[in-house]
Amino acid sequence: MRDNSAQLLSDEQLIRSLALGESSTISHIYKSCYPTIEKMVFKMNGSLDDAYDTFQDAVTILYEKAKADELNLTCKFSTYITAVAKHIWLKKLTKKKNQSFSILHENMEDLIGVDQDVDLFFEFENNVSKLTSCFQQIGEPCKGVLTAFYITNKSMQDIAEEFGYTNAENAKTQKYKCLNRLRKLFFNENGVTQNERAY
Amino acid sequence: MNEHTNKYETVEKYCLGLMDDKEKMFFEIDMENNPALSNLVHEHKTLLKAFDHHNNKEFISYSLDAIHKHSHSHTAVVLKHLKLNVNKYWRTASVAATVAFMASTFTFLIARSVYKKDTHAQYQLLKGEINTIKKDQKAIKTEVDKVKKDVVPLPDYPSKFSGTGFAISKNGYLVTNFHVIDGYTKIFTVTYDGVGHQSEVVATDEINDIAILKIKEAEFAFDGKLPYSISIRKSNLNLANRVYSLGYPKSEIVYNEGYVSSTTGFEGDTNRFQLELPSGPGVSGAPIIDETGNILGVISGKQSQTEGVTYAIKSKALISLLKTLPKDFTLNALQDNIIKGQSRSNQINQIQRFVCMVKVYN
Repeated sequence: MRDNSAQLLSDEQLIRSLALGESSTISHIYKSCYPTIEKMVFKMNGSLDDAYDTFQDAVTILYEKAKADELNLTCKFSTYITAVAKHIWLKKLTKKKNQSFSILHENMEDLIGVDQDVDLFFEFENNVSKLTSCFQQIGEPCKGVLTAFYITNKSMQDIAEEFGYTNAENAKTQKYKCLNRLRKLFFNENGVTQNERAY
Repeated sequence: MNEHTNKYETVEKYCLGLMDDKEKMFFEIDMENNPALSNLVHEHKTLLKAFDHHNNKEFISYSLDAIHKHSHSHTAVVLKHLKLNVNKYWRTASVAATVAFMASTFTFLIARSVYKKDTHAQYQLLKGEINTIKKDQKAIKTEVDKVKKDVVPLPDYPSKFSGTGFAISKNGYLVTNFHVIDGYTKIFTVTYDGVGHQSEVVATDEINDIAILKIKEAEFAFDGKLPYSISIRKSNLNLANRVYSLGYPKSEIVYNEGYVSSTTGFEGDTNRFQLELPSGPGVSGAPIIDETGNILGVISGKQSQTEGVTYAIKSKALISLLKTLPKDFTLNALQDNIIKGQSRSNQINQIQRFVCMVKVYN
């Protein structure tokens, strides 16, 4: 019953509800697209875990694009997500084996933009792992304050209460101090030098 | 330092697209003339995007895991044995791939039928096993002994389960979960003062997991006016609505807060909604209250693998059941509340006197 109604969803509707993060849509994407992708990754020398990771990455890319209203499909949703997953997996394989794999074989349409999407995704992934390692270095209370604000989405008022600042304004000052520390760590690691006191 | 903070705040405001056109224009001119500022903006955007990407990925991975766990394990063993090096043995590999394809098709067939069964394991009812919760029975007993004749003291043996209930009328009607009292007739409501009152079930809605109890004592009355309201009109169930709850996961009342994370419940159940709110055994039946003091729903369960995800029954279902109650109950008292606009701690102070522990005995 549910499967039937899910199939009636047009790709346009699918993208719109994916942007909202609706669990029924994510479940529908899993049911309709994962089997193909699992099979594909497995065929291309990947394990089941590889297949699932790759699929998660592909859904994340599409979710982020849908949220930013940048997902304009020129083909079927399922074709697109499969192409994205394929690119991701080939990139991962390339990294792993230190050799390149051709993407252009088989009858997979060469979808414009997929390559850039995947590159951007790996750049974000890279930044997140850098962020994580910087977080290890900034220490408390910065770690807690930044997590509460940027990850758990707490209000400044709640953060002030939780971390014992007298008011939201003080908590905000602390938040920016922490952010500044994080920024320095993050970008100095990257080799970019700048003068923070320039303004 | 303050100037520094202001600068950062402006940058963040710009990065998040919260400036109006004029402010944005001036800021962009500033940026053009000040490379350091423009660099800061660039870096800030990168950081914000990293946080955002982290959150997005967590969200997708969390959503998919819930589905994937139940479809995955069947083929894992089969496929591990079949795993071959595709490059060297393409012939065998293609056979393996075909088998893998068959196996994975098979998984999805199995998965579909198993899925429904498995989900029950994921959904944990929050009825507290009494082994973990032991109230100081003696203190209650002495209290009870002092009180009037139609007062039945709490049994002196441990209760089977406990949950939370909240008053919906001054004269002793309460709401709890059906699963808390399901199959039991010896039910006691322990009010805020620690006194146990024998109670009976007067109405149930098994599908929506709601039960209405009535304290049996003829002269029983809650102290004071009901502080909260239960009004559908006022219950705009919106994502990110800040909510809080009071319940009895232990012998003392516990306060928790969180937000509405989905307007549907487990697997898209439209009679329920999803909360990001800590919960534990014993808070079944606890009210979910919004910032204006209106009850949005009743806690009924949580997702077992994920900490913090709690499900609640929408108050719509509750109100339908309330309409079937006898004439000594009236919905009017629940139309409006007296705590709207008060500070949170003031609200809690009043509400906690109307939230009780519900205990059932063999």
